[in-house]
Amino acid sequence: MAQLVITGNRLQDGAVVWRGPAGDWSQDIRRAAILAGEEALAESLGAARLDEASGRIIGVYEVEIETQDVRVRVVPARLRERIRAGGPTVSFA
Amino acid sequence: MPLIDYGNGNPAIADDAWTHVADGAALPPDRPATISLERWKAERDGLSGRNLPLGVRLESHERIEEILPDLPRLALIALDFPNLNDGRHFTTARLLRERYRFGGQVRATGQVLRDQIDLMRRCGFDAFELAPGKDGASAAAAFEEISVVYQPAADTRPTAAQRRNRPPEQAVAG
Amino acid sequence: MYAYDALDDRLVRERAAQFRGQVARRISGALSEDEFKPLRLRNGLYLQLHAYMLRVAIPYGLLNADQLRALARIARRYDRGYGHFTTRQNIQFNWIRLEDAPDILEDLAAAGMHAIQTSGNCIRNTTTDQFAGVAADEIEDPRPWAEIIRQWSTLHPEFSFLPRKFKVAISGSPNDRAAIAVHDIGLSMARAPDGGTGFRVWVGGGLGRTPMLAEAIRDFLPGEDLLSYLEAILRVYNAEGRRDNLYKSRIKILVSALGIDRFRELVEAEWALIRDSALRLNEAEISRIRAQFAPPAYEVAEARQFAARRMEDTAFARWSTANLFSHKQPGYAAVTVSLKPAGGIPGDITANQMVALADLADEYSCGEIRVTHRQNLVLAHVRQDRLYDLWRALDSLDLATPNLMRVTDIVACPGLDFCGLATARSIPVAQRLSERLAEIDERHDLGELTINISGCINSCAHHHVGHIGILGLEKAGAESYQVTLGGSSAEDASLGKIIGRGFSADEIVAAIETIILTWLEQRRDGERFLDSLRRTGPAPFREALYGQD
Repeated sequence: MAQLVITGNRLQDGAVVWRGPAGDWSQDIRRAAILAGEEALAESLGAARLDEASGRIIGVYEVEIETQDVRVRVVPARLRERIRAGGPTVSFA
Repeated sequence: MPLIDYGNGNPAIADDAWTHVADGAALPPDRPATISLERWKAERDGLSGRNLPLGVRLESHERIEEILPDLPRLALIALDFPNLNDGRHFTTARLLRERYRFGGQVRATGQVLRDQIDLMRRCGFDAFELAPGKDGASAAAAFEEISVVYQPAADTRPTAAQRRNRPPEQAVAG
Repeated sequence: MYAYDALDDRLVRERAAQFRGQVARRISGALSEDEFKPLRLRNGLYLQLHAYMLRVAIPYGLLNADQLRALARIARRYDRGYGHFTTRQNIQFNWIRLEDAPDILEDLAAAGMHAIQTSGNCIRNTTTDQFAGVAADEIEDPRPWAEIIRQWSTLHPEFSFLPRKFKVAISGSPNDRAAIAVHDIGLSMARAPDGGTGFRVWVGGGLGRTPMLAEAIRDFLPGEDLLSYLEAILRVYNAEGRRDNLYKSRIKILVSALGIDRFRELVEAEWALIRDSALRLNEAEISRIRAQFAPPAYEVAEARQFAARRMEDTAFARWSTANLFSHKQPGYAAVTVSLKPAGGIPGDITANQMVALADLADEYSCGEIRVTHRQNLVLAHVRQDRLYDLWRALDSLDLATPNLMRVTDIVACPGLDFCGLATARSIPVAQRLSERLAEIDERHDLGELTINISGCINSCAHHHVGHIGILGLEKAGAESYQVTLGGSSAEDASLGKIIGRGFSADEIVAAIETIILTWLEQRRDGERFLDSLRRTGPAPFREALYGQD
């Protein structure tokens, strides 16, 4: 079963945020609640959507993570999400 | 549903005298009513004896050109906006006013939000049924936000180019 | 250049105030994201991967020095000290906060700028030739017409909710440096038999998922009728364009579905009804705008010193061969300031560079800067006897890479490092390529060879019209780069053709190198890559890349 985390962007500044176990939103993916199983996902996603409806967070969705080493580091499976979690892969001005 | 009536040159929150009648439902005996374009085309002959004002509703894909000869019989054309992206009826409204010289009410219905109504007014709409839950009184302020227009449209506001190239005594100070 | 009068100024200030109210309503919850998104897009504000991105309009790519300084202040105060010039002659800031956006729009308004309609399904920034007004080959300076279009299209009440975005480009010269063939409407200045100027009109060009070159809809349109004709085209498109499928909603799809002849009939019928209206441009307004694009007061400059410096300094000679464009005024040149150092991010510029360049523009080029659709900048009016000093100053700012239209002058979109739509990264590929290809160009003098890299099918980097185009896709979870050969956006416009299966991120640089080395074997003396390819066809390249399989 895939392991998932929930993400979105913060309304005020657009920053990437990850949903923590207490329903908090952190810019640090290591603080994300790791969800396994349909039920856990549905429940968390439902709660996250309330934050979306209230306007705090935009564009809530779930992200699959690589399953090894989740206690050491949380790495999304897709490159797009790794870049969202870690920032651009290029150094800019 | 809050209705903003701009028919007298000033926005006013109005009580709606009109009823939108669904296809198949009976027309009210004592109130002005609108019906769908399809129904109008099917029943227009039978409605010739009705003494109350009539209006026709167009969905976003429907064309006013289908009923041009009927315009003199109609007091209201309601143009529907099913979502925030479908802008076809901005064109319909301009044609109604500028080309077909329709003098009745042109009403925007559906997803009508405060931030579009000033553009709608420029295209010739003079009544706005705001989307459910939207506050009509604060929406009316939208008409005051932008005072400079660059294009001729269905309203009578002088364009920036017309203001610039007026004879000097009429020129508008900065 | 055009300076806002009181009315232009009032409009952009009112627009900034209006957006302040919209942002406040969004933050208070009165507006949902679905309701707010079209509003913020029409003010240039996107949500990208890491933050909001603000795209500021640079109408027809023209800036004055103070405006560039204003952009530098915005970069420092609200962003991370840099900006990114785009293929549509605009600038983007990548790290914007929603709460700051109204203040930024106000700062822009104070500098005579805005971000109006830099996104959304409306008429976008009109683009033109970066050498407008200085090119000897032009029929007329297209910029006054571009400004007339800017005003007409700004907050157009009828065309603010089109089926899809809409882009207009104008070229003043038969040598097309504005890529008009790949725009929704392309205008090419033309002369009437009686000597008056007007336009040849093209319609239905575009890139993206279904690339198409524009077709001619009208051979000659008198200048005074420009706006009524544009309005007729837009009105037909607004009424008839598809709205059921995002990928089929551009005007190119409508033109190709109806056929150009039927489309022309509809437009001409509409135009006949609105030609004699308030849309007809009056001579007073045309003259008022034209006067603001009058050439600067040129001085008498002599060229001997320039020639001598070229003899003395080979680095200067190389740069002046690559990056100068001949100016219609004797003794002057137009200088392209390359934003493509080897290993750099195409189109990026720091706030410090912006400020320094604004000063150089004041000192050397009548206080004016232009943005090109290949993500470089131009100082258009430089005395030839001052080129050497300017070059040294640019060189010290790392802005003197001698590579205009050469293989390292790579056009690239932000790609997956920043963009929410991207399917693969563009910038790292551009960086690795420019480092590798700089060496090969040094050894073999590759001449004109353009590479364009888009990070998704939306084709912001115009990969279909690069001599070599690279499109980054996501295949089975990994980046995959598809290569097209033979594109051009010049007057010999053509769309590149896919050469074969795609390459991984690890393979793509070697693949491009193989293409170039294969070409060198085929090349006849000094031939451009594009001309060799048109002569030989793709077979040698296919074989070199994929062998016999």
